[in-house]
Amino acid sequence: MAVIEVKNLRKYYKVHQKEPGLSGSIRSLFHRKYYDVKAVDNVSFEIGEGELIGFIGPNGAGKTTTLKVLSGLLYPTSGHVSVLGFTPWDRKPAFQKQFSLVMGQKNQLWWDLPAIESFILNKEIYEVPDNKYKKTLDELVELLDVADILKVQVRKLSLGQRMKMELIAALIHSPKILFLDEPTIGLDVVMQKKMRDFIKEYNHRYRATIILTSHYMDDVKELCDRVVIIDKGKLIFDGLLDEIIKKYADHKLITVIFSKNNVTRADVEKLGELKEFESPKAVISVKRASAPKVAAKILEEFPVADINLEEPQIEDIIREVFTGKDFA
Amino acid sequence: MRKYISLFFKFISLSWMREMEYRSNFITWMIIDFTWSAMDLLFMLVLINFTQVLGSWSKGQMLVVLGFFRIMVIPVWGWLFQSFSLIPKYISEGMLDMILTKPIDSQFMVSSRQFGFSIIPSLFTGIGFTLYGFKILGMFPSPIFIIQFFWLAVVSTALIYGMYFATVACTLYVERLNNIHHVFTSLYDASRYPGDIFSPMLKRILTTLIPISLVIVIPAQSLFSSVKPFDFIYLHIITAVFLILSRRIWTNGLRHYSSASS
Amino acid sequence: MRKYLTVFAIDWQNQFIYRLNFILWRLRNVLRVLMTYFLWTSIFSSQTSVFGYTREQMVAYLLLALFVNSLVASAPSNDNVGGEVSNGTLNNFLVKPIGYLRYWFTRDLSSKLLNIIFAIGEIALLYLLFRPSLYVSPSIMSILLLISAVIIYFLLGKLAISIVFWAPEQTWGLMFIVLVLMEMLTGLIFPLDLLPRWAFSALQFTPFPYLIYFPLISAIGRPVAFRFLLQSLFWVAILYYLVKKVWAKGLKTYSASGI
Repeated sequence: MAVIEVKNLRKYYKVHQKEPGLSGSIRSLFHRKYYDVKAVDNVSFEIGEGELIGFIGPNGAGKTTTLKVLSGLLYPTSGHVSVLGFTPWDRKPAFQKQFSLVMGQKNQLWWDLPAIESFILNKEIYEVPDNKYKKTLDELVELLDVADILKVQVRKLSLGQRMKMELIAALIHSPKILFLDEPTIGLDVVMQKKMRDFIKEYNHRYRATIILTSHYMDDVKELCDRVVIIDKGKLIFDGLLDEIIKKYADHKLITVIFSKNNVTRADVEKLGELKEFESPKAVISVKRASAPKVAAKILEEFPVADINLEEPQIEDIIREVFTGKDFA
Repeated sequence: MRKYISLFFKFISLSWMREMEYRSNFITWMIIDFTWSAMDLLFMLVLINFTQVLGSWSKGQMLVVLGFFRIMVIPVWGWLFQSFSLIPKYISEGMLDMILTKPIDSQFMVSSRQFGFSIIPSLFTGIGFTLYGFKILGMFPSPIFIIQFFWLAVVSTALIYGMYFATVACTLYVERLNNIHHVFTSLYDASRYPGDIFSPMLKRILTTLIPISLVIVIPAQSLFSSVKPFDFIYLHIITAVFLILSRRIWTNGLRHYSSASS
Repeated sequence: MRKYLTVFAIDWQNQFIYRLNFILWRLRNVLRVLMTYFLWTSIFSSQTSVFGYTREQMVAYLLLALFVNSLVASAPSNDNVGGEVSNGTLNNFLVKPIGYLRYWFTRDLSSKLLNIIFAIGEIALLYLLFRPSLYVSPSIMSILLLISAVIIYFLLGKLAISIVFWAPEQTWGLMFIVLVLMEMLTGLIFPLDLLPRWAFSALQFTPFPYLIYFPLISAIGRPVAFRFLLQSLFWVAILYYLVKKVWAKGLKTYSASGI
């Protein structure tokens, strides 16, 4: 069953062109030239209950805009959006009580008070019953291991500790849907890992539907089976992470280390596209289908110390997708 | 020294460019400044409606003083307030550390970081009030008085700087003390009235220890009556005292700040 | 309702974090009252009555202005809402089942309570210093005028701030014009009937005198015509309608542009 349905979503911004100079700015007071920025351009997808989905794309691709539409902060220009059967931008309390939006760079905690006070405030705002609040809080505190810092002024917490507290504040009403916008931004590697483990665990334990946007491929690789790739407002891929490789990476990489230095560049170039050659090491890119054949050929014809056949890195594939180049 | 002078002007020009980025804001604040002048005049007229003299001043003299008070808005609001209001922010957001690492005197840096230009209307209203005052008085000061006045105005600016900075530097000792500005500005507001209106004890304090009743009154009065030699000398001494004192509070405060912060 | 009580409770705690800063704020208020006190005493040294105000009545007026001002004009919302709208913090509230303006009105009330407690202490202290003949006779009329003033002040501020929806860099501008005007035109530093008759009559068509002047003179026992209460309530109604309309429009623009 789909909890989120998006059909032909478009979000255009009118931006007025600023002319340089004083006279230009006076002229633009009376006559402004507008042009459309297509932040989201005809995007459709469906998300089922309990899915954990990664939104990826470069800065300004439209990820955050999509999340804002889904949480009712933005009116779309056109298209149909339904989240849990609600139209988000009606901002009905019954809808608001069932989801949560966490933005890595924005905080909702009261800076000068211990985090627990913000939790209590959210408990009242979302009208969570006492016993349920206690239970949820205990579980979250245990999962994130923050029992000892609940009563510390938020401003005295480290960035990672603060992010944990932000998550608790966002989850205190046990939302069915969670939108996480760059949840690991600015965190160190260890903390990123902890955050990921938590998100995964939360998804499993409560069957919460989670949409996550991130710059870090590691987040997506580790957490999400399904990814949605958005670039320049357009959806360019929606499917399993493995499929990206199949769809876009029709090449494989063969790395060979020759046992003798007498192999020349010309010898290797005949095998496929040469990516790197530094005797005795060569990296060759070949068509997926012919990869086994080429490998066998190498083993037959050259003195080989080591040979390795591998998929291109997911980061590389996606970078190539965005820059629009062919990749090998 | 030359480095500091050229930096000072660099900061002014940066602030100007910044101000020009937000022109509608700039215009709004010019309107605010003008309204402020109008309100000051209105209040003075309400007061003068009932008494022809306030303390020892006549209507014309009051206008001259109010005019000078408006002119002083330019250094006090356009410079000091703009720069100093950022100091509590530097401290609470940790930007002071950045300033301390620069090979420039930190007091200079925090004192000249930002300038505002929306106080330009005050120049005109200030000159206007002053001229109107002289018209009522039926006199005009001779050039030598005007030169003396300019010198006193410069000394007064230095004194206001010293007092204001000494107050603001206290934020180094206590977390979040933004309101210390309001305490200074509400004190400063009293500077445009003659010391005579206060109780004798308060008058003595405001003309000596906290010389609020000197900074505007002495330069302005020098335009329509002669300055007592004692006042002239005392103004210079107390200015030096406050400049040294504020420096002391700042440097000691920095020591306190760097040993307290994590 | 309970959520707003919690907001009140949490804001109350928050106010005590920077005690010294708050005390400085009160000091500033007292300094300003002292300043006006000395000004008026100096004027009364040459005459015994100004437009029917005796020296004692004037001192009582100024002291009580401290109280009324603390009640009406203590509004941290004015300092914060503009910034929250322009930096996007407002989004935090739009996704939650809570009313943003109600949330800030609650926080204002918490600030008002603390400021009033201090104001009462300060007035007691100043009273011991100057021993004016303080005559207070609050009536239902003056209480209604006070409540109305609190609401007008809140709404006026939010209306001035709403410009930030269309001009995000204007977080303070319009608000400040209103504040500067209020300084003089609400009756904070002198009773407004000292103004020329035409100016006083003209002012009655603005919301300003309903903020300090009318509630205050009513509280010190001067008769206030019933129509002024009606006019005050009329301003509440008009401003409420305007704020509702303008904020709905503003939020719509906000949601279209997504700051």
